[in-house]
Amino acid sequence: MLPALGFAILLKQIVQESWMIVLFILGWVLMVSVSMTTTALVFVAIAVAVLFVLAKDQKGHVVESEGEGI
Amino acid sequence: MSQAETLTRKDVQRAAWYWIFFHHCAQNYERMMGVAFGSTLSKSLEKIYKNDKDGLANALSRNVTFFNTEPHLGSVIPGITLALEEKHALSPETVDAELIQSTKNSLMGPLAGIGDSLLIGTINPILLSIGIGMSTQGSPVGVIFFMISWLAVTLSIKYFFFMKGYDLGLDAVKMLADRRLKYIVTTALTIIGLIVIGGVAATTVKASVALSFISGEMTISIQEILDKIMPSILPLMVTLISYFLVAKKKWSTNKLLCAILIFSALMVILKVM
Repeated sequence: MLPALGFAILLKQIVQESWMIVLFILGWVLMVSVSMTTTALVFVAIAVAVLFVLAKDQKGHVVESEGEGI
Repeated sequence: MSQAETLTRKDVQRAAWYWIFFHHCAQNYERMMGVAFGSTLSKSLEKIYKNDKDGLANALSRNVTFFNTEPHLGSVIPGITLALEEKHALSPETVDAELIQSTKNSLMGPLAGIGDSLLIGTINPILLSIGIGMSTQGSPVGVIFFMISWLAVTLSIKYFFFMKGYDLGLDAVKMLADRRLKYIVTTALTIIGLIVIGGVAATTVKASVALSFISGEMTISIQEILDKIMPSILPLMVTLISYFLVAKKKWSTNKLLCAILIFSALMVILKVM
């Protein structure tokens, strides 16, 4: 059970918007249901990222600057 | 002003290697990586200002000021600065000292942001997760894989970005300040990172229910019912609740650690898990 704590802390740092937790669940479900390897999962993830960026780009989305920490 | 000397490829390479190995030397809270930044450029500056002691003193004190960034992607900054310093020595009117300072200062923030999420936050966990996956049965291959791949990634990135930074000089500023490109790169890598971490968590977090009801001949196992809904639904719930408590309820790590330990102990004592 304790690894859950580690992932909670990691997620807290990575997740910027609440909906992004869905991606985490997607990765989880793919892993246990299809029982693919992590390397295979990377390619699925790349596909999702490409789709997301393309979709966002098509809308002509104006990107606002986000706070950058050093 | 004395005759300033231009740098050869070898000088830039030497500075790049210096940065690669000593980018965090003499780090302190006052100047962070400032001293390392200055020493990276020092050999080249000594060559540029060979016969100009005052110029060298100025250039060195200009480059040991506060500097903090992500050292891998951030290696483009000393590269750019080196190019600017060289130009500055040749013609102070085209590139003034102010420009060098402001270029450094404006680049180190964004690059630290991109670099941390890209390398420390994404590539490192991905490589680690692949390595952990290889080593689950106790084989040392995963450790070796991680060490080699991480070094290969960071060393090549640092060297490449340093040299590119020098080549591009001012052009690099324009390229990296492109907000759209930066946005695309960071979002794409955040998504990839999240999905991959989801997969890793699925294989790492484990929880199961031992509780079962017996009525006559029939045994109903709670775990079997849960598995029919979705495999490993319980660890997913545990992880999500932990995340919720840490991120939304602002629980401290120690509080959650104690809570998980007490919860696990209770469940075992009650023979639920």
